[in-house]
Amino acid sequence: MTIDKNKLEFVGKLTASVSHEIKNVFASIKELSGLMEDLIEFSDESSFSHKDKIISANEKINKQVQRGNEIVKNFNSFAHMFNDNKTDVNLNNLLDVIVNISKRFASNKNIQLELKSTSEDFKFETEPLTLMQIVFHSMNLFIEKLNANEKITITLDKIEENYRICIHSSYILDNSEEEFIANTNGNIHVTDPNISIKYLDNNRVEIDLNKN
Amino acid sequence: MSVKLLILDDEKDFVESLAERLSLRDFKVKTAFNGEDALKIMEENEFDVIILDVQMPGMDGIEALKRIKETNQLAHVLMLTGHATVQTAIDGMKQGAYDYLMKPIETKELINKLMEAYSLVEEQKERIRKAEIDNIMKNKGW
Repeated sequence: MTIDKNKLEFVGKLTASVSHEIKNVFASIKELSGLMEDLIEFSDESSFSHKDKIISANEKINKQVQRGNEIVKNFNSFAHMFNDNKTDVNLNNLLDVIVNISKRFASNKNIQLELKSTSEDFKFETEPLTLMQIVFHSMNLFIEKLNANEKITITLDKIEENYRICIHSSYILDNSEEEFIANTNGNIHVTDPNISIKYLDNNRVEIDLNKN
Repeated sequence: MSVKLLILDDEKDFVESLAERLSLRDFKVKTAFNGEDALKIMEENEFDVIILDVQMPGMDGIEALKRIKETNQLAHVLMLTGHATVQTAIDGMKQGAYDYLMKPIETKELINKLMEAYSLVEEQKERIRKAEIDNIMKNKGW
């Protein structure tokens, strides 16, 4: 199934706008909760009953705001990748977004997703949405088959002038490479000739991003 | 001396709670919920720092920044931005805004930036005062 480019951009634009609005909601909640904290701190000690409980509830509100804010931040970055035009993609950011957004699928099965990020910014010109789909598809292959308490590690490396994203599972699957490639091609329309995908040793997917 | 501050943002709950929190910390705060009202308030009040949201209905943050800069006030402008509008804040800094902050704001970071901006404004005021005194002395031949 292919989605019309304009529709994709339309969905991306609306999603980005909604996530911006949600961020404003979090900003207001955070300030209101901060105000409560201040009022307690600046007040006479004896004027508040249940002071500790109020402080503790307020800390929990703040924690949830932080959590919500992280989710919205990832969602917003995701919405900005809703285009299938070739663009200079920051690979670290892309992996950060797709791994964080996919954590819910993994945690539902008690599987851990670990992204080993690099401090250096790696950039590669490609279609961000397609690359995200490939990474998600590869992680999902393991998420669906793994048992609880297993782990999937995602790494990004520079190999000479090119980059490699590796999705490595702690458990050996029974899929063959032919099955994996056929499944990938059936689900994702990879049009970028500079992207090649390998499925190795039944527990590793390597996505090679070749500059030329 | 307390810092004179104007907060300009269309998110009423956010502005009011932030204003109250900063007042508790001895900032002298006025608020506006749109660019036009902010400019009216600026006609009658002088500010050290202005906190300005980059995305507002009507007059947006960049337009408001331009108009604020035209008022001849020495106030430094701190722009408030969401994740999606950082570029607008950077554009604002190119047009004279002092710095930017991401929403939701970290109070400590906000206060640090407000105090940094305030001390720069104070330094500038001091330089102007000194230049004016030098000018008077020069004109009187002292």
